[in-house]
Amino acid sequence: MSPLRLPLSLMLTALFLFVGRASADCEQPAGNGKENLVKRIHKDGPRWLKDGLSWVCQREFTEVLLAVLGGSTLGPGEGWFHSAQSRYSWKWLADRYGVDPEEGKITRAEWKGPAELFERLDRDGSGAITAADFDWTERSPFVRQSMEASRLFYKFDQNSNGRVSRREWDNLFNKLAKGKDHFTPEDLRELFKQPPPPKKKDKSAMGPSPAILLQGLLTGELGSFFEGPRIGERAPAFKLPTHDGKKEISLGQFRGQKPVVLIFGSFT
Amino acid sequence: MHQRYKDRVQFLAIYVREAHPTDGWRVPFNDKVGISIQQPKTEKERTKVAEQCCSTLEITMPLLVDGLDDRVGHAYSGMPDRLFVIDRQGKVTYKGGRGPFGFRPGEMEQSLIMTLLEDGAAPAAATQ
Repeated sequence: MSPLRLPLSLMLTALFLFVGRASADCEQPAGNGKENLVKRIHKDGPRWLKDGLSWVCQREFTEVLLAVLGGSTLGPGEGWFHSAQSRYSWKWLADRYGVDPEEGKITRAEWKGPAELFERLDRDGSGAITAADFDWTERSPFVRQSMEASRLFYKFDQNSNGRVSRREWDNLFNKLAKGKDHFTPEDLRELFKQPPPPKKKDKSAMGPSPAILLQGLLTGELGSFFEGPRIGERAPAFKLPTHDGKKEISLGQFRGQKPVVLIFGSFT
Repeated sequence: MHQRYKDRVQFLAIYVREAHPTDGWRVPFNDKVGISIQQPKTEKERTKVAEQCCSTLEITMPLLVDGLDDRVGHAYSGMPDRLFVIDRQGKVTYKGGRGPFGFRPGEMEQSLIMTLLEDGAAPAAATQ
């Protein structure tokens, strides 16, 4: 480990705490209450400082820092966990087909693209592509059913590699059947038995401490300080070796050839 | 999904910094399935974990290993996990939410399909 790393981390922590303190007022800079540095800056600070401050307030790292300092253990929608952005939407598709995005639909007969893509977009199998097929909120029956299915799947997939093998399937059957030649709904329910959620006071069971989360922020394990390219921007160029070291692949080599899907991830 | 589109779309997996190493935010789930990994400190260590990851998860698309400085991970804000769709002109058309909560392959697939439609490059022959 580099000898610089500890002082650097401390400095960053101090910086974060300062930014966190300052940005705690991001949400209501004009609110009343006692005058503080941030409010004074908003009132009669120089232009560059005002701009700088609102820049800081709008950064994703400010959001996540505020969440952590506020005691959040970072769930969906908290801190910097926003929803996706896309050039496309149901409205885009509806406009392309000249149908009303509110009430309209695109039937199989109207579809001009490859049939199998229609089937993929008509995810609920209603026979037409509608606004409901693009709803990713929990209001959507499709999303709720998918969540149920995933929950079940991860119970079956014992080594959680995203595939259930014949062996895992047989193991599960044996575990459920307990020596019988069948299993019952009651046996299956056993699989979902859970101890009651931990009491609020029990800190060890409450998820990560703010210290661990701050460390995760500093190392980038919780995510990058940077926000990445926006929709419509040119994707940053790169060239990286494959895991077996056999070749290098660059993004540029697919330009003009094929769209590219990037899947960032790690093992854990 | 990779199998479904591999003829007309290039899929690339990019291995970045571990999200839940044993020396960071350790989660019981990993321990349960027998995965316990320290944050790799050298390029070589990182390549080794990537290899382990590749064989355990049976990844069939190219798996690229980001540098220890996470330069590509930072350039895309890809950590801990995230999905992107890039059109043939090299422009970003879909930027998933920060993972794990924003990791929604189904949502990405819709944007991918519309990327193909706009490109006019969706050939009729599809492999399931």
